[in-house]
Amino acid sequence: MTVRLGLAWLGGAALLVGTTFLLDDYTADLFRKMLLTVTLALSFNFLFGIAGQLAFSHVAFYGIGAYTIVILAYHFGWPLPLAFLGALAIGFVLALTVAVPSLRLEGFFLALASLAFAQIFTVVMVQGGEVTGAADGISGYASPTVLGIRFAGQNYLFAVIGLFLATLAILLAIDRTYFGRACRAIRDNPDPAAAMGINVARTKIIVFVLSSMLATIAGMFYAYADNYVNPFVFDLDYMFLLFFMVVVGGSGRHEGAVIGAVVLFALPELLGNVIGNRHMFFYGLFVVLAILFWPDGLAGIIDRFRAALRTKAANPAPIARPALVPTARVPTPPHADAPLVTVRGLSKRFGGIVAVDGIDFELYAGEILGIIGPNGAGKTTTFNLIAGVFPSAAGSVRLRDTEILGLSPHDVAAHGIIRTYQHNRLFAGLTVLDNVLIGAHTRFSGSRIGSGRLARLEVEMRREAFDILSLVQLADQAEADVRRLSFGQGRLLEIARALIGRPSVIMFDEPAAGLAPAELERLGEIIRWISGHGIAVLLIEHDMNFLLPLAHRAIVLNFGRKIADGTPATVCADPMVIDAYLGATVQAQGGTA
Amino acid sequence: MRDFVELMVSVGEAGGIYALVALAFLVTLRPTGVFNFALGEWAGLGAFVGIAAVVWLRLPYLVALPLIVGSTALVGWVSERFTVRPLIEHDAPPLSPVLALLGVMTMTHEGIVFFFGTSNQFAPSPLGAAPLQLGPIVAPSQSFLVIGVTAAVFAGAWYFFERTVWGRAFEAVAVDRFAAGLVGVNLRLTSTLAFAAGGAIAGLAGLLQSPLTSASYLMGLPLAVKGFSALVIGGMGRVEGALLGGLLLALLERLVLRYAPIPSGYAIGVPLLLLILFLLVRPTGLLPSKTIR
Amino acid sequence: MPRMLLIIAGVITVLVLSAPARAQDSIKIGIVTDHTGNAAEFAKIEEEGLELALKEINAAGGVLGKKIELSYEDDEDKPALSATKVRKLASSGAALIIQLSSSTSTQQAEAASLETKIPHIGANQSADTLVTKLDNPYFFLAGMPGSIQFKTLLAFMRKQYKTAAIFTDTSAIAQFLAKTFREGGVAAGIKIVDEETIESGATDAIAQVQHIRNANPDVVLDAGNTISESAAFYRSYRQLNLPYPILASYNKSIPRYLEVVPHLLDGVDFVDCFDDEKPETKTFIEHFKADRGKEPFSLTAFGYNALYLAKDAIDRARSADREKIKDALANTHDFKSVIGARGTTLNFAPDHRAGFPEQGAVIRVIENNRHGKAIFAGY
Repeated sequence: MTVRLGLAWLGGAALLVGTTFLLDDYTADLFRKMLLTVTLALSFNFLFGIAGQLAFSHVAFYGIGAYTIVILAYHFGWPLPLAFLGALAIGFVLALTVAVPSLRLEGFFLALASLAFAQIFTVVMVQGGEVTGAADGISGYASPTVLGIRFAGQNYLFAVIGLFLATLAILLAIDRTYFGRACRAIRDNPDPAAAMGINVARTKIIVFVLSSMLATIAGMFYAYADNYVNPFVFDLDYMFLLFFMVVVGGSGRHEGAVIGAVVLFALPELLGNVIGNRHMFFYGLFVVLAILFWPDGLAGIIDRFRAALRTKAANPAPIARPALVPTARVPTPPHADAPLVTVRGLSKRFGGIVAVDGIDFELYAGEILGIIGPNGAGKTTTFNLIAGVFPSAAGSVRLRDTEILGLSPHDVAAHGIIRTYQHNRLFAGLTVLDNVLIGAHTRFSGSRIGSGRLARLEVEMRREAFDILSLVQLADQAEADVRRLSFGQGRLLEIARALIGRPSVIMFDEPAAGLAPAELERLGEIIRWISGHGIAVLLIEHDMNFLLPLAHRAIVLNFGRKIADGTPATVCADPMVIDAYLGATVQAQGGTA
Repeated sequence: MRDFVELMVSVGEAGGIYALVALAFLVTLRPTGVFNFALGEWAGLGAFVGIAAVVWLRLPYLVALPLIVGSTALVGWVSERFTVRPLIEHDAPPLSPVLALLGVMTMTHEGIVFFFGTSNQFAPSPLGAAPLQLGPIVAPSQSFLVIGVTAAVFAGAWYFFERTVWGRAFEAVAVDRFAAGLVGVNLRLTSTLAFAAGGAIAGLAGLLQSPLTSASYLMGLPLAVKGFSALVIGGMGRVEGALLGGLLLALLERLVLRYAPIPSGYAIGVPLLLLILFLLVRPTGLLPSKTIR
Repeated sequence: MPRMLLIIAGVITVLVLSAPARAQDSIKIGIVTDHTGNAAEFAKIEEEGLELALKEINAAGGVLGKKIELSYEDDEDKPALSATKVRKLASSGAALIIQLSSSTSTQQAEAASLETKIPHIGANQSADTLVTKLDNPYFFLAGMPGSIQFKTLLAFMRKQYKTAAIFTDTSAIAQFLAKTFREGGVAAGIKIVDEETIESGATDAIAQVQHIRNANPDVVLDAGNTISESAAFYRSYRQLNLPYPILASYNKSIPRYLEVVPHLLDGVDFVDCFDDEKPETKTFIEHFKADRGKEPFSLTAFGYNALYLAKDAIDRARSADREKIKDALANTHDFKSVIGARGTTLNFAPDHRAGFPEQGAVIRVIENNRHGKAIFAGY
């Protein structure tokens, strides 16, 4: 955080606090309720816009926070700081109770389950008798006094401003970390996210718990807005309104949440007599329009406006290519001592179909091993088995001494085996540079260092990511939107993403497919460079012109079995291979392909 | 025994309505993969258009019915054409149409309030207010009507999906959209029909419900919740699932209210818990889909 | 991103600048009402009564020599917004506030009237808790509290019934009424043998009514509020042909229930605040019919009453000062009102801020799908 930025924040906060002195009772009330809504929109945006989880339980947690702090402080007479912690703990436990089972739910299933949870919350509050005040709620408790300061009126307003700033600060801090990046990756494309080493399940749980707890804390503040909590404030109408705010403002960005919340909150107050409180119709319409035409919402529109008003800043000049040292390993020639990866008896059935039937092979460090074979031979299945895509399979895949068959994709990545995809699977909501940095996830999560050093590691990794982009000649696109890359550039980006993880093994799934000749040449150079640095390369390929000069060795699969294993030249001359590809006709004709 | 018969009629009546809403969800969900939250409000719309047609314009029922069902089908068609289709065809993230339909849901709700106000409206029962006797069972005519119409609609839906070419086309699109397109199924028309049919069925459900408790501007959301709960419980893969889910949900609600030793205020939470349980443990519902992946 | 803070500050400034101006030559009374949400159709009726009162008062010279000006704010029946609206009216110079929306919204709005020290009249709400939950000397309940409703019901039925079943829904006021009936019944030695709740959106109440039949009470107490669910209850009740008499809260004085399930409420005895034999009420009915061409009922009377109550207090305070008005309200004696049984008047005191007369509730019967005459009053 630069000094200038810090001062800008301080100035903004001072302005915010300053306006509070202008306010009469009404605008003060409006202001603090608006800030509470904005805070809630920020945390909901984190869950939905940034991590891509559509859950309707957010306002229920707001209610849980409000109710528990009042019940603990008022009914049970706990001192406020203790009640605060108690409510936080209860929010945490409930969030976990919802998050863990919800892992298996995707898309609208999660929406349905969380909606049911929100309704159950209302039922429990209404039936809660004396404890929750039932349908009437709890009223008449005093504003809290902490360390001699009474949190009513002006003080309460400052507290709410503090809540807003603190929530914003937490969310911005998360953005700057690898965890924040991982959330966005999961939102954009969960499978490659896992393949890059992100523990999707654990990340989702953390996101859900964190955002729900932020909502819980906001709820605790709300309890003292009018010193009254009742079940009907925390209803689905408010939840849908929050959702509309985030979408219209621009989901995925904090500014979007703030702008959306402020506009949709203030509009009825400003225009109440003009549109006569049928504003929800227009909000519904705005949501439809936003999703159809302006997915970046109002924030996006404002950005485009501002971008049109000024010239683009010059891209930073690419730094001259220093020598890359992705691994500390000394480059080893192929076939050094022991194999890096040993596959024995690998088999996989899908119902009655045997896709892979007892495959054995070895892969050595610094070697380029091609897997070829006719369509349906089981190449992709073998690939996916090693990558951890299928939980149940027979046989063994050992990386040095560790059995990795059956590990989940993120564990496979953590062990140093990284894959690419045949159809580029990039993270559309991240910049090119951030896409590369996802590849470095295991280097962040694997290191156990404090936050100060984490920030430094972030800076180092950004540098390294930039260098790798230079290697694949994408450095000038570092801050670009991933969607603007050509297919070939996307391919190179995937490779860069794989490299930064310092893998021992990179697996390429038909990397040559769809590339132009110049790009093919470049690809070949890069793959040679990779193997030259001691990384083992496994490569499924159909393009023989590309593969044969490149690979050190190749294995041929047919009908799920290995039918040949040797140098490319040997393998191509093997009559069984020719037969598999071309059939008996050619054999009968006595010729080769 | 008397208790049981009365309860079963109630199960048939409520279960029929839940099942119809579940069917509406199913019919839009299967071919398009889009979960249409707006269906609840479209049911409400059906109820209110019914009031306009039958009470205000005094149209005979047989004339009013196609008008009512047609109007909600039209809303479905328009929604698909202008919100869902552009999103699917421009490769928007798969959740986008669902989110856009949330906006449509709100717009429908506000539209209902704008035209009909917030007051509950009396909806006359087509077969009259007097109870009917069928065999040993005496029940309000509307109960029999709901059960009868539900049975007819489900029979028709089953026939459509199992025995007609169009129905097989719908299934094909549900199983593999891309492949279905390749073999010549008109994907656009399928989606449009799916949404229109969903709208029509939902409108019918709302129309059938309104004589039971009046047409209320708030009726949409509870119907939607019951409808998708029924679908999850019964099974999202087939028509029978919607019917089974609706009946089971209605049965369970009533058994708990009637016989469980918990206060009825809490009994309300039981269907919600059941929904969550099924989502977690068996999201495909009781009846498995017939297709093998 | 600090510009986010600028945006917020900017919006607030706009709001401050767009705050409504204060009128000088009239007495401004703020009306917090619902035009959008669950209470809208009821609030609308109250407004009709309010407006007739306004017309009459201003035609007779207004109050303190000035016309009364009503300033409406729609709280959408949202409790948090209701509190904001009260503050808005207080900031814009209203002398006092009359609230027409639900009990829950009024409860939260009380926090605002207490904070801004503005007199606050609840025109029609039934929740006793409005004057007990929060010690707010500025709030006065002109509605008919559930406790009084029940006392009258009890007096009406005590001679006859020993056991009762209660029927309610999940809305706030229904839950409150159920609790009042339950606790009141127990205190009076009546055994509550069953309590049934219907959820919102339910298509029928057969299971609940069967349960009631099983419990075989002497009488059924209808604490229901929401119209769809009341309709479901009555349809199921009549379908199963249960013989027990039904006694209902004042909600059943609202004609909408009769419109939605015609003739199914015939024979139900309900509590009402509206005695059409009372002289003041008779005059009111005549004037309202002449003005609007339709019959008024309880809700209309509540609205009408609230404005006259306010006028009376301002007159006695001889000032538009809020403290003086509040003191005047808190010392209202023998206020002759269109609500309450004949011979009863409204009375407020600083420690008795629910002014509806204890003996002021009447029991009426629904006959032939109409509200019949008052057959019983007080207790």
